[in-house]
Amino acid sequence: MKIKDTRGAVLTALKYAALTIGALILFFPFIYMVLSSLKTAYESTAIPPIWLPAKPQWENYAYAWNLKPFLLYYRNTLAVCAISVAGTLLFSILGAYAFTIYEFPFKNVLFILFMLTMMVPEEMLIIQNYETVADLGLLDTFLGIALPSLANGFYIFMLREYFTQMPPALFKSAKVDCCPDFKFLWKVVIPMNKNAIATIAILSFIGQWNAFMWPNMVTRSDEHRVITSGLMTFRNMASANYHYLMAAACITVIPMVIFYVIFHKQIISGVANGGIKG
Amino acid sequence: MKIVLKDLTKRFDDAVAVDRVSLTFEDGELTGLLGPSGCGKSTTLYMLAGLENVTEGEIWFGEQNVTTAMPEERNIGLVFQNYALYPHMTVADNIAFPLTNIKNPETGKRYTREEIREEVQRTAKLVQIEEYLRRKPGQLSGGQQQRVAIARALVKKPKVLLLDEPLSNLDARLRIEMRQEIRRIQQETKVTTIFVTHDQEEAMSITDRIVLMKKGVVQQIAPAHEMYMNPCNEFVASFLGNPMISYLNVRAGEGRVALEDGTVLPLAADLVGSFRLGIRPEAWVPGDGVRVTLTRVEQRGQDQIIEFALAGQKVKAIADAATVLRAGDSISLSLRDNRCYFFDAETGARVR
Repeated sequence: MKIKDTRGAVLTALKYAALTIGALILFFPFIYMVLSSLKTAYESTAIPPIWLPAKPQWENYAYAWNLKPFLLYYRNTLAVCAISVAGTLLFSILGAYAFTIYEFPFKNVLFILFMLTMMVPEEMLIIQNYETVADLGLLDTFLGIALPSLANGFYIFMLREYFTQMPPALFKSAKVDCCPDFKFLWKVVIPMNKNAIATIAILSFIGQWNAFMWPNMVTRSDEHRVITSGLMTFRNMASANYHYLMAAACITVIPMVIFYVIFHKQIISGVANGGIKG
Repeated sequence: MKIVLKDLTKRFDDAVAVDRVSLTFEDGELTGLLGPSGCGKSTTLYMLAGLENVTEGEIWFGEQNVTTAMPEERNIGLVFQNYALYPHMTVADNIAFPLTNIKNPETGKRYTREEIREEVQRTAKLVQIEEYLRRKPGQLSGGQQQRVAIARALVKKPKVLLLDEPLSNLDARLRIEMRQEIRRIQQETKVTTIFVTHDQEEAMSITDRIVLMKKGVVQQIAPAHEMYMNPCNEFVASFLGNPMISYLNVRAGEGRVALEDGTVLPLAADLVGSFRLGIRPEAWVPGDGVRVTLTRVEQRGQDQIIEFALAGQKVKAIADAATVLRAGDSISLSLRDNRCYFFDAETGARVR
């Protein structure tokens, strides 16, 4: 009994030690970014590196904040994220619903085509997407930035997995009880799958917040610039001033950190269920 | 409301699930659609509900041809095997759900909150679940969930109540209780009810009439007692009754019935030819007739099931519990001829 306890304790300790080391490795760049953002210009580029700033340079943040309109970038990013999340939810819920409930010609072929879109890397579509968005006259608009992310084969696939777990009798029963399809969707399907839907909202929010290449391509003015591409233009201006750059980087990720803290349970379960990288 | 099916047929690709079914469900009757799995009874029910398209034939609700009508146009209540309750809604909301989709036939307008509350109360009282209205379905037992499902099906006062194997998810004791409840509720509401089941005992115990199906074809339509006493073919005779009816290959002639080995059965018949003789287990009674040696005895408390062989064919009979019998005992048995039926050896059809 006693030996078993000791062995259990040692195993637990080893497990935690391994996890702690892993966490430190993952956290290191992040910590280094925060530390560097508080250094002086000399400290941030010194060789060998100086780990801790002698005196935290909080004014780096003020400087970075004033160099570029970060508040505007936040607002823009939130606007784009709102469009993206709303669109993603709309299209993935309707898509998954149709693929679950209705029978129509070429249903399976169509679904496989949707799945195949997951195999096409985003980067490959950038030129076609750019042309489409340009033809629609949506360059340098929030909608243009969000547009390619609105319909997502993976989210439709994931939601359909949840929807198909509902007993088919629910839909039949609703039909017999004169329930219109949209009401069934709104009153039964969505409430019954609210966790899955929330997970999709969170994942698509994170995805849109972190999106860089596409937003950077279609924005030209600060007026519609999102935070990631704002940080890029900041880098061009701040050049080798890494302490400012790191402060700006911190400004960029702080909302996401808060977001993670609030929704970490949901994110973890979403990643675990979906089997995807967060 | 009277329901009439005219040559109702359902084909899936090549397979015929329901084959030219013509029958009438009388107003206010409780009819059991009985048959083994795959006999087309559930498909028939779903066609009645409008959830399955009709390949050929017609369905009439009273004076109205509803063959191609959508489910929501038919005013039916449907209870599913797994109840299909909405797990995120309370019992009250589940029962109220159909009313939120339709207009009140009395006022011609949408149901008001007050009207819904009254109707939910009324129906909950009918099925005796008033005290559970605020719970979620997950917090109820199987029998209670069943009651909620029936309440939801009945709340809009449907013209027809359809039940698809409503008792098969319940344990044995609850099943007996719930089938009596279904009978009571049906008699109180007088709603035309069609009840799908594969359990002959269930169908026999509560229905006014039984429609027995096999491979999409209706075999016999009759009240339970009539169907048991007067089966029209071997399949019907075999399907009803527990223990099952036993069969012997016999030759009849000169007023006598003899087995293949020449043994003469204590049974009078004016038929001539070779037949399959179906003998209900309770047809055997003690008396002068044939002498048999028991191969197996099964005690059931109120009686005992005995097995013996006649001309190499296994026979089951029910014996009174008064004398304890044992395998190996030799007894003499006679036959009641009103529980013996002759069937054509080839077609299985009843021969009278």
